Amino acid sequence: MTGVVDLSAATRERVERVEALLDAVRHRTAGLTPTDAAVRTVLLSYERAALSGRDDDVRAAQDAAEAALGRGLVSDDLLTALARIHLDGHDVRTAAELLDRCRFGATSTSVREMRATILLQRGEAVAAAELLRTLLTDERSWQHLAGLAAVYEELGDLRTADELYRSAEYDLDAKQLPALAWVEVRRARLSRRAGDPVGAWAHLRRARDASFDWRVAAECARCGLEDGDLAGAAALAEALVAHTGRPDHEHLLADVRAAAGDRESAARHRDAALRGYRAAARRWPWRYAHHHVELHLTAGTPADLAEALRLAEGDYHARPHGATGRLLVAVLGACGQRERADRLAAGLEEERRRALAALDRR
Amino acid sequence: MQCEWRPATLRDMADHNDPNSVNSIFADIDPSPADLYDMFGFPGPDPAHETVVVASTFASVPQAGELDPDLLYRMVVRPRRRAGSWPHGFDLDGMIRYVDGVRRRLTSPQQTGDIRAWVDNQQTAHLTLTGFAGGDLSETVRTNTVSSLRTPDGETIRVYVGGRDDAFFNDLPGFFRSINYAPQYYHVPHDSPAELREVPIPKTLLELEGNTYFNYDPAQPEWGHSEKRDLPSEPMTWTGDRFAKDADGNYRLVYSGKDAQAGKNVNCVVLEIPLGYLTHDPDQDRVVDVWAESWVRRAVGKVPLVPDDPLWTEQPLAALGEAERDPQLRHYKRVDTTAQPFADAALNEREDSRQVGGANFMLAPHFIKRLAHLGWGFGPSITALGLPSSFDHDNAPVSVHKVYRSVSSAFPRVRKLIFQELRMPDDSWNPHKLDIPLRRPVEIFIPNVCAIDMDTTGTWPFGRRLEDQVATRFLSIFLDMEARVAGGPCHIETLNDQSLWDSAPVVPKTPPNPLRNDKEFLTDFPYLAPPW
Repeated sequence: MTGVVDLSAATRERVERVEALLDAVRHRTAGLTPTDAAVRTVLLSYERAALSGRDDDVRAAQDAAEAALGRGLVSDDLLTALARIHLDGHDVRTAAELLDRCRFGATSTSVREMRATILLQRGEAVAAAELLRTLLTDERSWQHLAGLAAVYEELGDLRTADELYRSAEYDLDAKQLPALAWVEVRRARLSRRAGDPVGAWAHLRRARDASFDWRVAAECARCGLEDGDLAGAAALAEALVAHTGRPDHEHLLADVRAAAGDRESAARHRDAALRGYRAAARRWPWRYAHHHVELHLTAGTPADLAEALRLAEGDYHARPHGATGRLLVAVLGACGQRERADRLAAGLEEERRRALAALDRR
Repeated sequence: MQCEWRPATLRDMADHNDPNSVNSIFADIDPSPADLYDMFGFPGPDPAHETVVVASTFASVPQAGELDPDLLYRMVVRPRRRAGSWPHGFDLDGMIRYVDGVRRRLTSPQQTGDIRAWVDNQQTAHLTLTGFAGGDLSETVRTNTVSSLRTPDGETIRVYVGGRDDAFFNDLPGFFRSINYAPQYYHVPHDSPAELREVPIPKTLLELEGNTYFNYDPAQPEWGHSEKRDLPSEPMTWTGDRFAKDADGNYRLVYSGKDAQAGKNVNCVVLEIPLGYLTHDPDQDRVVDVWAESWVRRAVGKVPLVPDDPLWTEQPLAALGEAERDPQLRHYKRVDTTAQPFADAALNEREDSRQVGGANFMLAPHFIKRLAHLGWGFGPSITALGLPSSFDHDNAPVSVHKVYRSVSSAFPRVRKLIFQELRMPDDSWNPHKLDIPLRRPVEIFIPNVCAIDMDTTGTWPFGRRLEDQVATRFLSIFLDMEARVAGGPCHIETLNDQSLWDSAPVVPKTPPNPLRNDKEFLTDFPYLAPPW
């Protein structure tokens, strides 16, 4: 994986199409109502952000949605698009409030899908699974299957999660190769969690074949780092930083440099990541909180640990689920608060077992 | 979907990868090459060489003359003997017996022919014909070119795969206005509830007084054509009690008679096949049932498998159906099916779950309820025009929005409608003057096949010829074919008769849909007009 990496190739055609459609909206005056124009602009901007991975594009989509709603334009499409942006930013409260304003939220598939995500983020895995099963009964779709897989993944039932992801793949068609790549990335993570790095790489190769976009590249870089392929990981991480400019990708490159013994470069990218996390937090307080925590945790100074604890507690308070809880456990342990860490870990484990038992009964 | 955690390491606690964020959400739903438009079928023109013409048309994506290599287009063909007269009672029991007979016929291991067409990345078309009496064929042909295939018996099959003019001529916005279909007129959310697709306002052929949500607006003539409005903040309902009339006392037809498909192209698969190739017994098998399907390649088939992964065809939630057993179809998923015009748009309400192909017998209860629902809308508006209706609407003075939950309560209303013989305007459809029973709506829509009677001209409902104005003929099922209009009995062309509209108290004075296509059809294969 060494050498020049072109992360735009897989999505170039789609990006060009989005740009052309955005341009058409800007220049088309007849036949479009203001709401229609706003909806198109927001959805296309969000599409562009999803393709590019750049936070600037997410900001543009969010600004366009907020501006339209601020002008009094009313549309469920605007509300759900903005809710999705907030959900991407891990702001579940704002996302839920926006969904509550949707006129047809009770019957909307996309609204209910997002509600399932919110439930999972809030630690209500069983309720999330129930809602996703209801959605699956209404209409079998890869998103619902993948959503249900994520519930089992969160609860550590890796086998069931993988079966569901595999079923989701079966429902994807040739026009949805980026989605296939996404599911393969998830399955790669499951394989790695199950102690099967070879299987993980097989899934990642498949993801690359399907659509070698920034998501796939990031996962390949992380796995390369873990497996000691530092040259490959570095090439990918550099390409990611150049392509997306995201702070978590700067963070990744810093880790690769550190693993390679290049302290100076590692420090430079670490600082860039830190600046990026702080800047992003001004708009999306919890979007990168977990990465931000990791950065401070790795640094390990008393000041860093204090900041890590503040962020981890805040993130867990906003999203009290297993992943944020376990990160808080790690931070508490690093801060020497062993008793509190053990208590929280035991509670999380008890909750996980209870949720799995409840799902087994259904 | 957004949270995930790996106990082995703290890394990757983030997940910004929501499945929906990789799922395209274009504000405009792109036209899909899987969207089938029409299924045509009729006997070929040469009586000396008996052939059947079958043509499946679909969205011209990527463009007319260029087909999507990820799509497979299929036609399922079943030659059979012509059924005799209706053998059952004209009641619910008769309906049940008929549907059960259809079910047994379609689920029995009878001869089924299968035509498949797809293109590779070089736009070479691949065709297979299997399951026919004349033997299997597998050929490649150039797209946009008429080709000839030789059967093992030395007969010729003509083939065309490529772009043509859209042979459907129809006032589609008028149809959507008649059923108050909001997405044609309003910006509705992408996954809007059912009541926002067909708004709970009575369906009607005549505008309803005060129905500002759908009535024609002279201030915005492009509304519903190239322009839409924002969704009103209030629920769209109607509480009036009469049809709208202008100052001259005329009703206003919801149709314009204009061809919304004018100047548009399709891609298509057209074949002209000797009947003797399709069946061992062409003298007895005088009806050819056919329906079309579109299949899209599965994503998992486009990339190499993970070596140790179980075969993806073993995936746990898929039933072992036809597609899983078929070595080619298992790499595809069925998207759309079509046969009878308006079976999908009018009766199935475009529901994805109702894309079942010809074997639609399980939809029979839905059809009864749906036809009753449509009848309460169209029936009173037909009566208001002075025409006899086959739907029992208790002489309602205006269209009614009524939804049925029970088949038994809906059935008495539609009994005549579904069992009446659809009269033809003259005898030209039956050139040999054979004893061929007229068809009844129940037989036309169950099963959902284009049933081509080889002893007729193949005009709808004895097949479907290109020049048939099927949209208006579909509306004619709501006419009472035992009654008379202007001195003659009602028939399937009554509503296409300009003189009827000239004398009716309605504007515009036009049949609902255009009477002919925007381009002349050809007299020779492939019959559809060249693309624009």
